[in-house]
Amino acid sequence: MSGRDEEFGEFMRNRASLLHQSAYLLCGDWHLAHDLVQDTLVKAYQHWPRVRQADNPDAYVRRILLNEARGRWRRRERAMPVSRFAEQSEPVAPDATDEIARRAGLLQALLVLPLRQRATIILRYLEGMSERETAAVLGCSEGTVKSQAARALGTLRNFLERTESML
Amino acid sequence: MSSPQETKLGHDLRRLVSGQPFTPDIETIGLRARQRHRRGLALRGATAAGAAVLAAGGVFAAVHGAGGTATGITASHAPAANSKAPAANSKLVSLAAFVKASSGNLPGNASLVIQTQTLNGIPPEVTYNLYTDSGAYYGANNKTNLTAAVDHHDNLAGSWLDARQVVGAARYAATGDLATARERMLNATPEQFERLLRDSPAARKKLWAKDMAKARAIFREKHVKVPAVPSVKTLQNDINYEIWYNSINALTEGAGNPQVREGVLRVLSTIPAITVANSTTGGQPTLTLTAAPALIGGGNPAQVVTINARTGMPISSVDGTPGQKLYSSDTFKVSRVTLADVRAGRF
Repeated sequence: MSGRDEEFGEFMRNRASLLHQSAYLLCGDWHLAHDLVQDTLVKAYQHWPRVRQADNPDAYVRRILLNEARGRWRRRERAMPVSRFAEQSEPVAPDATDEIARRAGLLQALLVLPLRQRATIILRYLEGMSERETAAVLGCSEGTVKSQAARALGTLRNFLERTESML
Repeated sequence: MSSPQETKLGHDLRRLVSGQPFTPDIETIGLRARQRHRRGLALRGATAAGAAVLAAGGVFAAVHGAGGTATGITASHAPAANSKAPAANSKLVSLAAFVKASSGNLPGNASLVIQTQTLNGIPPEVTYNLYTDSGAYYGANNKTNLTAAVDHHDNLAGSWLDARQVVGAARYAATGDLATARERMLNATPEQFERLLRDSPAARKKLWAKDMAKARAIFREKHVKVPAVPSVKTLQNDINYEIWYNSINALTEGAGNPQVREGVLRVLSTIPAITVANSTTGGQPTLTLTAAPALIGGGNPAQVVTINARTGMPISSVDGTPGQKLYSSDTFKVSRVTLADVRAGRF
């Protein structure tokens, strides 16, 4: 294994799991999340010299992931399962347990958010990034992160309240 | 949502994604990266050798592969169909000419696009989008926040989801060569696709088989059927869908500029899978542009965009049928404003 591979391998091992989780919340399907992350890492590997020298390599890689997700979102009716979830995006009725229904409801609510808002929620609340870090990934100001998050949270709350009322 | 609720959301999200191990394969990733690198070199070599390289987008095998599995492998060589623009839709061409003839000096120095989106019964969401003639973009969910965004120079241009590329392609299309305009519109989102070559079906099949042979181990590992070579028709559809999608983005985001509308109409006129019908919306004459399900992808509802029949201004964009589960609707109100007025809240 080359030095480049070792260096990249270490970078990847430390981040792949979280990238995979983020990718899942972006697309709503574990298999596609796997593919999204693989493609992201292929690009990161391809441009590794640039990635490692970036001010914020983590932001760089997440931007690749979001661009990959965006590309598929744009062809969503062909390649992404989002529409499948959107078809079910009326709040789900409880089936096995309330907890399962709540989780399904949360995922559905997330998947109907505009991609930018969804990315904001994932970066802020799953990955635990600060507003500044999130802004660096999304290439916008902290104020925009705040407003995107506020709008997304409003939509989520609205959706989840409807779900809760069915439980 | 208060801070404890945000904390709970983080907790819920982590629970939602827990228990799914993921171990990336460095060797496979390295192999694919090197393949892509070599392919890039090969493409550049082909260009230098005078091969008919088309600056067209390609398609990931993912689009056509079993189970939508992405491999990042080049789909194939592109059909020659993109080398020249198909026969144009006369209604759109006529409207483009009318827009050109009737456009005078633009008032103001920015376009305000108020977009209202309804998605699957969720309460409508309104977005105020301000595109300045100098290239800045400000977005907010109400007038007050838009004024604040302008005041704080919260310029989103150049960030994620930047629309300048598609708008630039549309402006070129207003007066430029139509085949080149299609290519520019297609390539306005370069991350989307690998590049394709024009080539014969036999050469396409050969290249595909070569790529698939290299990737066979990956497919086997993932228990996925090796995708068949996409047909010329499928590739043409993909290219046209991408052009449609980018053009509609350009139309909505650059609507305040007649040159953009004219260019979009010219580009859209080249997509055979779009039907154009006369209609009336709110008492005004409109054109209804319908992208057939075949263009959008198997089993999905048509996308319908309604534009003003005299100005080409976008009025609405609808996916699906109202009342059905998969349904989204956007309406647009476009006006010209000045930044000074927006700062003063006069809009």
